[in-house]
Amino acid sequence: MRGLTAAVVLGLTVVFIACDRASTTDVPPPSGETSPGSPTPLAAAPGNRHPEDPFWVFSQDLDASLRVGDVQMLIERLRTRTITCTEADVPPHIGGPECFVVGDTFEGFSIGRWRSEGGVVPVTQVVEQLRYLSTAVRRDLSDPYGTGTIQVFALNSQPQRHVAIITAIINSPPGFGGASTIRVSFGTYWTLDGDVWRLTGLMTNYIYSGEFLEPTPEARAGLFPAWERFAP
Amino acid sequence: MTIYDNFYVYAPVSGQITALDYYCGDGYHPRNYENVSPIDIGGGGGGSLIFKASSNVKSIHIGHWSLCSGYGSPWSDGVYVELYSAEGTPYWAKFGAVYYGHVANRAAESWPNYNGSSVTLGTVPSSCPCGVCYNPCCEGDDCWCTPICDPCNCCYQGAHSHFELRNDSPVSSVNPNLYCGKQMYAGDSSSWVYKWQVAIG
Repeated sequence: MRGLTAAVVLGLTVVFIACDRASTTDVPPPSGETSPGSPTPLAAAPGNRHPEDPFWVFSQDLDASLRVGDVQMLIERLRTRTITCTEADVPPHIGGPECFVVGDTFEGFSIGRWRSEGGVVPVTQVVEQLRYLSTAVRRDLSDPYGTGTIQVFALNSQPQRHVAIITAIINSPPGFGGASTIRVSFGTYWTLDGDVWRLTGLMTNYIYSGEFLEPTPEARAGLFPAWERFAP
Repeated sequence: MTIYDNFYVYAPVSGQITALDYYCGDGYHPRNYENVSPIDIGGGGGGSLIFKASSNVKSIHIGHWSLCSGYGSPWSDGVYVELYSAEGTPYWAKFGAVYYGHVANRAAESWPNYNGSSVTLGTVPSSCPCGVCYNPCCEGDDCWCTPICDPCNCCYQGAHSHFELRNDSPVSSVNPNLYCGKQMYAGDSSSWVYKWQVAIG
């Protein structure tokens, strides 16, 4: 996959930032099996309640793009940095870059996995994940959180923490047992770079997706203290 | 004729599997030293982290180790448990070990070798509150990884237990029926994670 890096990165708008690196089975509802039908969705806030907030305004465009299954707006705004694997990075360790060979280089992106760990992965992996969303989305399904359509579900807009929480129902990726579909929720982390919003981090949540959509005290305290339901 | 016995270790917390050899959804799941078969299970912050094995495990030894260098305690604290098939932890009866990461209030390393197959190792840490602990990859507001609630962003993202199998035994294996999202129950024999098939006579 590393061989794809250059080709993929050429297609991205990439900003390099200098920073020293010191270094259905039994998936329970509502994140579990989904079904066709029209359940009562959790109430969404009416309209943009913060028209003065540039992040809310931007998120309306993002939501509109996602709702038609287009994830390009995420991909083209990924902000990466070049990782050169050192001896200290190999083999990969928890929290570090995904390095297997000393001297290897790749465009890295910071990723986290809720109720697990994170690190810096080749941006190609992130692009693959985002594209999988658009190909595996199940718009025909719904659950208490709404339809399966990719959409912005909530926002956390604070000066140093602009997060758009997106969600979708998708066909399960490999490795998820007998669950044919799952609801996923991702925290997408943004920063305003000049007049362009850049995607600087991603917190994936394939297992406990409901905790981003009805934030638990832990998710709220640790990730989204200013969580607010979004509706276009 | 050689006689074999199967020894099992069960899940240390109740919750769903969020990572096996690969993180659920993406990416290689690192393991430490030359250990194998790392597993993450989402668990409640502050809840007990237990070691429980099948009753034919007759004694254990507890030691400390570290992971996530630079991130601070308790997220970087670990406990390992060596397993023995006879009481008193005789060297000839040792057959394997399990390494647990992210352990708060961890059991003392000086714990006397313990006869039995069940003990509390510590508790599951809560998530790091934003701004509390040090993130070694970030400096300054515009740092590339700042926007993810940094503190422990790379090491510990939500309450969970990480554990891995010490790869010094040719007779060990991981439960082949585990998968992403599978519900596990702490200490329950239906939720075994590792197995050793050991010659006992």
